Amino acid sequence: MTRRAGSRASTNDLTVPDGSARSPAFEVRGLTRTYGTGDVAVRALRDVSFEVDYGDVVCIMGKSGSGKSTLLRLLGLLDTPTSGMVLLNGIDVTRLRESRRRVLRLGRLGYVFQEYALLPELTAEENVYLPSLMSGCPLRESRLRARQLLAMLDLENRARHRPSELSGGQQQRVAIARAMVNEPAVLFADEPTGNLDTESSEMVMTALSQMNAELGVTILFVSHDPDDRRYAKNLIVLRDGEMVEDAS
Amino acid sequence: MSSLWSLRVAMFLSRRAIIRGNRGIVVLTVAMMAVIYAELMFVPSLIQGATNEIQQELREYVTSSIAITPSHFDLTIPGAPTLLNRVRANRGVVAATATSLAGSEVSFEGRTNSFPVVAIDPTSYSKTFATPSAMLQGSFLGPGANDEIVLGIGIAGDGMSRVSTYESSLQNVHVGDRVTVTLSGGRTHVFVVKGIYETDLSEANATAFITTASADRLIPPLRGSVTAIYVRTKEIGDERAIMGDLRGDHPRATFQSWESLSSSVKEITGSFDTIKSVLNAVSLFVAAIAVFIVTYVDLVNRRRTIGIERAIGISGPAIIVNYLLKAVVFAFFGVLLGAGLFFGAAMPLVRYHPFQFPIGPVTLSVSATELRSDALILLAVAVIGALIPAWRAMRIRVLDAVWR
Repeated sequence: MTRRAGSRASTNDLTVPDGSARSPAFEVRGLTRTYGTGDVAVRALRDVSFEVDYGDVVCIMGKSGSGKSTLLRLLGLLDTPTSGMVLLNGIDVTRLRESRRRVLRLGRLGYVFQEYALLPELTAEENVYLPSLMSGCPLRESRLRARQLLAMLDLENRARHRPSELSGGQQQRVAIARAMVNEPAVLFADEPTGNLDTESSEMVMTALSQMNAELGVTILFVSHDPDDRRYAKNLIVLRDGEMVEDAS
Repeated sequence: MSSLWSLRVAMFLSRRAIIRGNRGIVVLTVAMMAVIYAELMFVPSLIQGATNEIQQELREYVTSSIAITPSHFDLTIPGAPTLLNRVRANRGVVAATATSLAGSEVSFEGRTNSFPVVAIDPTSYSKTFATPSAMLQGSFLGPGANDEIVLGIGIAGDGMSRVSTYESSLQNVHVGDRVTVTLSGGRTHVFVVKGIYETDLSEANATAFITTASADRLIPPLRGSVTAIYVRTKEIGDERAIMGDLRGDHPRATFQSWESLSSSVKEITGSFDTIKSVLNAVSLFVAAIAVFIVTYVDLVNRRRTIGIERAIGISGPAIIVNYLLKAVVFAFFGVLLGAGLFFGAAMPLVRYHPFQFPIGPVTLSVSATELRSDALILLAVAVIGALIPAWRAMRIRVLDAVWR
């Protein structure tokens, strides 16, 4: 991971090809997010720039209100920056239409929410393979892929259970499996252990590491727990919306 | 292909939401749709029942199925006996009777009023009309009866001030009384009242009947003349074909079906149709609002779920169609349950305890076409009712849906 000065690039080609060993997984240039306008404007993120290589695991740390989640939501294409860009293979994906951003969220980017965010009426297995169905994969293949992921995360015996029948740690691992089902290039996890006890947190962070090691997915996760640094290869520290440390 | 995946995901989500979602909401929504569907059918079917009753009364007492009258240039039907024979020979005809207008004024104890006095053949008339079975007092005319008359309650009055046309009637004529009739040509003759009939249709109660035998004897110039031939067909709806068969050989007669003759009733049934349309529109509006509210409340409760679905890449159309499918399923089962309620409970109940209208007992009547169209309209309304809130929910930003 490399820290960069902010700059702008134009995008004509909307295609986002698979990652290669040479190019970074994505680049962030001068990313700024301001909420509100005028006197009540709050700059949640200020001119943040860095690069993340394929296969990297980056931990984003900082105090509450430092802009960690804002950054992750911008990277996960759930929000639009006030200025700056996020380049995937040289293309600024922040300026894409919502329909294209959705396709990227579905296939190229995985997102794990702090509050698990599973669909309550679906079983663990169905939650996992839903994005796969949406991407056009046949049901049988989607189900097989979901079972493999759940087995990797030691949840094969919980596949038919609904979220309400699972513990927090189990739900979060199901959420990780869901985020991985379409084999994304990058996985974002927003305080994935924020609501979990120590043992469950350990299991979730191990699961993320396992995804990186076995499937090669690039991971960016937000955490406020200093212990989680050990799972990361790189660290970004934010303070008051600004990037203060890049521990490559 | 992306639309296909969206549809597949929509079906996947809606199926699971219906099966595993809140049972209470599912049951209540279906029950609500059922009640709306039953209500949608109930009032129109009651109106249809009333319309059918009026039309049946018309056929039974006033017009029969077909009325053949003279053309504008004639007072009587030329060649009536031949025409009557041809009519009776037609396979679609049950019975036919010829009548002639024999008088126009009836008097009793100083009261005089204008009423049509019609000469009939009681035997064929009884097969063509139901008037002989609607006797309030006395009996109908027998074949060849002389100097006897049968009056409608609208003429006799019979001392019953409850009758709506009592004021314009002779008021106190009873069976056995003698009334004076002014016959065609101006001659008067006294007839003994043989019977008084009453139907539920007030306009059918203002005719007096004497036999053709009496008329032939009292008004020789009119012997053999016919002012109308009434035809009763086997099936309702055969009128046009039968009239087509007969019309060619008798260009100087006017053929009219009961439908075209019921112009006065058309105003009533036309008003019924207007009421029916207004009530249908109100019911459908209520249905749309109900589905809108159910979907809206569901969407408000699922705002975060929708945000999550969109965050993980589920398409907007998939989410919207998911809600539309749910609305369609609720409406479909609502229609089934509503039809069950209507046919299993409402119709049998009303059949055994019919509504008492001034035109007589009225039961519910609904056609398969109306049943289908109401069901389709309800489904369409459910889709529209669900579409608006679902579409609006898609306009909320993902970030707001998930975190705010």
